[in-house]
Amino acid sequence: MKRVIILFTFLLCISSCSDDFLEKKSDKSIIVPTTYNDLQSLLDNNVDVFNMDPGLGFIGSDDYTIEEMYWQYLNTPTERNAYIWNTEIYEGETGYDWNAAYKQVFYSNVILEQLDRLDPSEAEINTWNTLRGSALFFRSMAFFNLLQLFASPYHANDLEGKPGIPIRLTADINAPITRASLRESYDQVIADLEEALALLPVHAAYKTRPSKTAAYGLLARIYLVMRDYEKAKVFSDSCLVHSSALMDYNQLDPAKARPIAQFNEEVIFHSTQTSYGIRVDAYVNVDLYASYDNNDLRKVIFVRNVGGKPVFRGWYTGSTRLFSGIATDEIYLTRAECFARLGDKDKALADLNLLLQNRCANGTFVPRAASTAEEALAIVLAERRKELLFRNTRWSDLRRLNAEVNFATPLTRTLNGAVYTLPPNDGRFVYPIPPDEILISGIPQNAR
Amino acid sequence: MKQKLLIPLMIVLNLTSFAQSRRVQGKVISAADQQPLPGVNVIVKGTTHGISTDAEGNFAVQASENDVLVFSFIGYTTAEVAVGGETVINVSLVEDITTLSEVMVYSTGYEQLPKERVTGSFAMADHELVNRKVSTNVLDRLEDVTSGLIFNRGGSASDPISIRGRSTLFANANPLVVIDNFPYDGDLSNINPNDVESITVLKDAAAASIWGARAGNGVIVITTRRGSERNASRISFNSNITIGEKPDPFYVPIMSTADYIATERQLFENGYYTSIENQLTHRALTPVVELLIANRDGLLSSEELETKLAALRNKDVRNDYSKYLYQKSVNQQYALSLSGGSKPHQYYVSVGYDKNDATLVGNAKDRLTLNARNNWSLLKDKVSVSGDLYYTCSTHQNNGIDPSTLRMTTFDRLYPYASFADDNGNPLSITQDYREGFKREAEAKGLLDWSYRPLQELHEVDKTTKATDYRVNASVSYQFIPGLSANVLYQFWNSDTQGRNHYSEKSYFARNLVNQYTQVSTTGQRTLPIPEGGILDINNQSAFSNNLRAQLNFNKAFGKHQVNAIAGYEVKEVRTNGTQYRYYGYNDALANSSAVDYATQFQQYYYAFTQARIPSVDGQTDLTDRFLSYYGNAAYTYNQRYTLSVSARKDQSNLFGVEANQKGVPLWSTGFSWNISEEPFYNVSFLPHLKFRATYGYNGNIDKTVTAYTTAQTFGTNSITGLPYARILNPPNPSLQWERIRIVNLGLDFEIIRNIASGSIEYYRKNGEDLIGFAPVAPSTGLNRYKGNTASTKGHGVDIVLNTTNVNRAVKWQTNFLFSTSQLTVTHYKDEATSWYLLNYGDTGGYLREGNTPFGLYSYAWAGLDPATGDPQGYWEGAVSKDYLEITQNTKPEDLVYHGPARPTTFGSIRNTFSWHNLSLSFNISYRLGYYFRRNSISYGNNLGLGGHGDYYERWKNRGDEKHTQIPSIPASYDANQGPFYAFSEVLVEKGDHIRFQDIQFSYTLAKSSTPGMPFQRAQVYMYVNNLGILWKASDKVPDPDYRQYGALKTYALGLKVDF
Repeated sequence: MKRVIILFTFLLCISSCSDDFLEKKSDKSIIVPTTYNDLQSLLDNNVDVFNMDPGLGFIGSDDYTIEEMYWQYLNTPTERNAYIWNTEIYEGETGYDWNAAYKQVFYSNVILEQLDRLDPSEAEINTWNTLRGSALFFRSMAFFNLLQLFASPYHANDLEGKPGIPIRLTADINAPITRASLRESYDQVIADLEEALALLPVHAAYKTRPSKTAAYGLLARIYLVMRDYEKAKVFSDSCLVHSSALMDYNQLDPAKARPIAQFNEEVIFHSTQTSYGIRVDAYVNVDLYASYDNNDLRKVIFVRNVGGKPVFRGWYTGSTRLFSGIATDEIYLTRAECFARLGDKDKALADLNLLLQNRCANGTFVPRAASTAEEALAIVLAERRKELLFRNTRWSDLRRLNAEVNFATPLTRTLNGAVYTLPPNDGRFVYPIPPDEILISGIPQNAR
Repeated sequence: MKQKLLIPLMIVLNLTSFAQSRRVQGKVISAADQQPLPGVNVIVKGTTHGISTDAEGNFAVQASENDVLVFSFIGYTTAEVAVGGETVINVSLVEDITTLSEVMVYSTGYEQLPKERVTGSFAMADHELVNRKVSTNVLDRLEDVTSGLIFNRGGSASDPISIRGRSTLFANANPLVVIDNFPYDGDLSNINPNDVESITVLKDAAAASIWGARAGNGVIVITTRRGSERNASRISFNSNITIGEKPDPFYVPIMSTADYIATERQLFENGYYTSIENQLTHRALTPVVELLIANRDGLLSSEELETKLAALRNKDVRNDYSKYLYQKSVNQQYALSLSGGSKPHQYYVSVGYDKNDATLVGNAKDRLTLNARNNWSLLKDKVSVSGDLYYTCSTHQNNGIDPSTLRMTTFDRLYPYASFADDNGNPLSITQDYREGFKREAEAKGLLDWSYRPLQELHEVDKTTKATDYRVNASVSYQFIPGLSANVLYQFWNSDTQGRNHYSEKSYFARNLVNQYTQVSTTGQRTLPIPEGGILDINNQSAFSNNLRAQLNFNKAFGKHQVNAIAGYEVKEVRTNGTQYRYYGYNDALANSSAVDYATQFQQYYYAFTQARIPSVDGQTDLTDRFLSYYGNAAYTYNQRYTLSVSARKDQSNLFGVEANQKGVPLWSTGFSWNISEEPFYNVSFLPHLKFRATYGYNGNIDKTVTAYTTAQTFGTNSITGLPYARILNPPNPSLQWERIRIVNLGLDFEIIRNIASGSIEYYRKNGEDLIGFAPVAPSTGLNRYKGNTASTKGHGVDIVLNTTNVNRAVKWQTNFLFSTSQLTVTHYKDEATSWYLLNYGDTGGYLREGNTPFGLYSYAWAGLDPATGDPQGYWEGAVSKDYLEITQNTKPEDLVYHGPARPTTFGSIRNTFSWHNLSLSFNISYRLGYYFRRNSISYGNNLGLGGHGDYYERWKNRGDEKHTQIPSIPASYDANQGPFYAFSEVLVEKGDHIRFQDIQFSYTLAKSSTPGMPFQRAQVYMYVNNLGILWKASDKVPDPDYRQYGALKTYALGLKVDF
């Protein structure tokens, strides 16, 4: 019997160390993302995850037109249908923008959950903070981008009854999926960013990584969409304190195929739009093109003439992908608009003129002037369109400005003789949720 | 002791019989191994006088001159010997194959179970059956002799063997192979079949669930030979030679050379080659096209052209395949063993050597195996200790050139008028990759000789893999009290594989790569990013495992109650390391090489607009699998009639998640058996043995591609910032667990009186639950497809074994009949494949449709040929259609024709064995039924079917042909979707059902007992012929449904086995 006891004691000894034994990694080339370096590598995936924003906003906007012969050969039905503002756009295909944004949310949640499991030492706390701030920043930006496409425009007095988007705060794919209200959705966007502000460094080592300055800029963009001009102004200020440089377009070489460099001094945070094929065949809206003054260097830097048609080339990405990140020019324009709306026409025009000074040919710059704040606002908004051409801000601007009688814009497209229109505040300013999402999760579809 | 008691009794009894009776004595031995047989009943025929042989097989009885002695022993054929004038009668009993099952002991790898007490489903091949076939590989010998087990032919070979059909969709599909109590992680070709004593196949939950999470695909338990304490030293020698047919390159008919050239001329006239000719990549053109170009350009007169073409028309490269690339295979096998033992120590030592020359010239393999096993019984048999060593080293040369891999370029097949050698046998070059003119120009500029000569390549490339593999087993068992013992087993396994592919500097492989990367400056200066010289690829893999098992065993009988139980604990680790790397500019004589620049993109010589980095094959792997398992198994038998068994096992692994490891329910099974024929009320005299069995339980399976943890893969640099980045491969899945296979098995074992027939009938249901599969998930989760425990399957089948003794006299005729069915349906799978995937890959698995089998064959509905044009016709939206674009792009999965499974659903064999005196003849006929395959036919592509399938000759040519052919005409204009439509149409799907004359075995045996004066105990000459041919097949469109590329090659073996 004694021997039996010895044997079982031996067995017990082996089993007691079994936890370590079973934690050995099965395949070394596959990492289980646990360390700070692993998590940073996930955040640095700008190949197929981060630093990418939806392209549907651009497709629905009035920045461009496309001709019938190109339209019919567009890669996806989504592009063809979204161009003419069809009620249904997917024709059974999955939603690229929806999927890409939620993939960012998923990655962010994986990172946030792993950070919760780590107990940073004194020396590691900065790294931990930056990683957490970055993940929150990306998640917030993804939710905000989704809200611009798949939820109603933000109206402070009409938030409760309106559905927002699914707010996923866990990486668990089995967690139930519901649409939060519009208020809850925006609350989460703001909460994530405000926490990120406290965690992020003022500047990041790479412009693809979030920074405090980028978070200020994004908050300015978000509050503008929420039409909270006071806050938008405050965050624009904070952003410009840390990053205020503007490129003098006189220094750019219009002979170059891509006159504007990637990571130029105006870029605070680098991000690009989904590379739908439609951008390649798009011509700049002819009326908009005509509105550039001949001394305006943007006319030659942003646009090149191909067979008499204006083709866009003002990429802030260094490639042919469209920029959707945060740059100082946008923040100056946001602050100018806020000043105008808050009644300070001089400060509004000061910001605007600072920008335009860097856009006009040497010696031709004439400062803009206005007699009233309203007048200043109209000038700022007109210049905003000209500066932020193909930059993914137009769709949100259309949605928010539609609430104002003075600035509401009916949209019209002509394609092969047929005329398509999108009146202000139309239900089609909210895109339908992709059919596979509706089918599998059962969340309610948007009424269009 | 018994003898001493019985002899006086016999004497007393004999007093009443005739006085002429006298004492007759002798020895009874087994014919198979010449070992004494104790316990044989020796009876004087017609009386009840009898005796049993003693431990040495000796007997002595009183009998008279006219008496006949009857020798009977369970498992052996009863022998009758007339006494006559003899006083010494030595008898050798022949094993009775039909009743051998009576004494069968099944090994599960954890314990030995006598057949009477099992409840589960087992199949077994004993030493004789394992040795019936001649082969180098041990598992080959199971084919068509074990019920429920099938070798999967055609399609994917990821699961070469299935036991009772497939049990998984995406996870590991191979049965677990256990050798001498432990799972074997190495290459099974390392095992010498001559060392194998028996192979047991565990088929249902009760049999296999002791192996837990690795038992899902069934378990094959191999037991190797060991010494016996019954015999003195014995030496056995076995040698054989097997010669196999050369593959027939003409097996699949193709377009003739003359028509190939005619088609090329037509294509040339149509301008087909103009774009290739103008390509800046210098893509190769065939010699005929080059001649046509030269003629067009006025460099070759039309007469010369015709002369040259006429010469080419007579050539057929397939003759060169046969002459230079194929050979008859020759396999030699030698095995020598020494075994023996006495009470305290038994041993088995063997050495085996195999040398195989394959059917491809340059492919050869040799294998040396060494085996030493020792057992000791100590302390009055209370302790037994064993120590085994099994060592294999093998060399595998893989230099052959497989004709199916020979092409002219990536895009073009090899032209049929290629020649490998001139009339004197000197290697000739064939056009390869780039145009001849371009290559000659490059050579003139100083680049290396750029010609490709297949016969030279055969000698300039050396691909050799050397492997060593050894297992060390040690065990101790101790008996505490009779009935209760404990044992500890340990195994260390190590395997090292060194692959060395050396492309000499003269090889085309090396010369071509050097030339491709050669940089020529504007002044004509050459620089070589890849240095001149050979290329050496090294691929080293090493693996080792540690296995430790501790087990308690309890066996006790109390009156009518019998209890057998085991419980144990097992721990295992397998580590696999691999590295591979390449040396450029390698000089084999000096063993030196040069460094290259892997980072820079170099302009390619053949095309100025392509840049490429120097190919790097470097890589490493480091894998670790760990398992911790607890198991127990118990059986209770009452009155030898009722047996109840239970088995459970819990596995923990570093592959599973925390939840599965901690909360996981053990995999378990339970079984019941009832020996009906033992009941007092049973009086069916023609069925002396009848037993009913029923089992229920779960086996498990694991998929190493999914883990419970979030996993990611890292990549070097991203294009924007140059920083390393990572991509998530696997979302977190804390509830991941093993696949579970739920099996119900019902069986009936029977035996008809006088051994006329015996066998078993089994029915099983086999449901896969929590199978790993893909499932669509809402994209807002961040994924749209997810791999987890999401699928399920439902299967059922029947295994019937029937052994009959048809004639049992001097000539003996026995038949072994195996019949199995296996059906499998996917019952739950939400990530449904599209039509394209179902058509292309449905039959090889991996692309599924709920409600069908996982290996389904699908096609487009066929509406015959268009009588006007001979175009193939299908259906679109219910009407006959030639809109190939719509049909191929938009036919929904539910509108495809679903034929059925691509793997046999009914299969088995009939083996007949005849024996007469020293001669034995056995042949096996196998059958495979209830499945479909897609045959090849002509594909016209955009080149009029150039070099395509021989169906070309049966094609529609004129109106009315559609009445006797279904092969489309050459299309008037190219439609990219017409070819795929026809290739996947219903008309090319055939039934695979067939009956095959699998093999025949003949042996002549001389035993010392029957032929006194022989210098050895036993000698046997044997002959074995495999793959004799098809006897019947459902489809007349192919010669062999299971061997569609090359045919099943006949092999002829001749061997000699001697026991000294």
